[in-house]
Amino acid sequence: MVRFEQAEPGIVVVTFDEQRIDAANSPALRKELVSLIEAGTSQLVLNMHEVRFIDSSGLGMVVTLLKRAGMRGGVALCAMQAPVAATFRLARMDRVFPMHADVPSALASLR
Amino acid sequence: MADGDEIVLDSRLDEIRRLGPWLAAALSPEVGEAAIATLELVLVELVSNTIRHGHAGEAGHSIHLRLERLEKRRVQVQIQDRASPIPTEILNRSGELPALDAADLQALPESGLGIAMVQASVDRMDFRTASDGSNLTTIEMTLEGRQEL
Repeated sequence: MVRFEQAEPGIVVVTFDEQRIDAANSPALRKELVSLIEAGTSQLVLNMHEVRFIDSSGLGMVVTLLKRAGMRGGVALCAMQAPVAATFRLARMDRVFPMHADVPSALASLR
Repeated sequence: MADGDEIVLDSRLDEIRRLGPWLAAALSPEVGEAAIATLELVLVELVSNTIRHGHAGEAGHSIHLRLERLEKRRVQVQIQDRASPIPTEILNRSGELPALDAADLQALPESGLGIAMVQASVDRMDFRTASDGSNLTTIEMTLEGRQEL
């Protein structure tokens, strides 16, 4: 469902192997990624390259991760496809989550 | 597109994944991918809301959807179910998306965005419960970003 890569000390790159993040799978994804934060990772890059569709439960999951990571941590999103970026804009979440072009630029934003 | 395309979903969350292919079969290639994706998002939000809240996640209940073309640029979708209706205070409260402030982390909403996203996308939404207990949700939407129908 997701792949993790320790890119740098304290920063994990999460790649979604799913074309959709919706009400059918976001509870399981939320649980898995919150576990990662509880295990000590406070900075996440979410690589959205494969994701073609996200709904409000998927957006809620991303907000949960940002809250759990806390003010000292961070969540950076990258490689968003156009329909996914449109949903972030519709919910005004683009004001909260800057959209980075790729993993290196998302990593740079967290340093 | 044939007039009056219909689909019946069971009240399970994995069933929402049938909506995209259903819409694509009914509207492609005349309607562009972006417009279909927006309509799919609207229907996913409404149906998953019905499954999670109206049916409390319980499978085995039918949700009927009917798609009709009103005129060149507009479609109407009617959703019929027998779930517990959405409380009117939620429908009214969700009229506007919250102003989001990245600096105020704890105030960011983790849920409840769905109906507001629907209302931001549709031209009209109407929700009524009949005397027999069935609910009828009607949305009308102008499909932007597409080729001529």
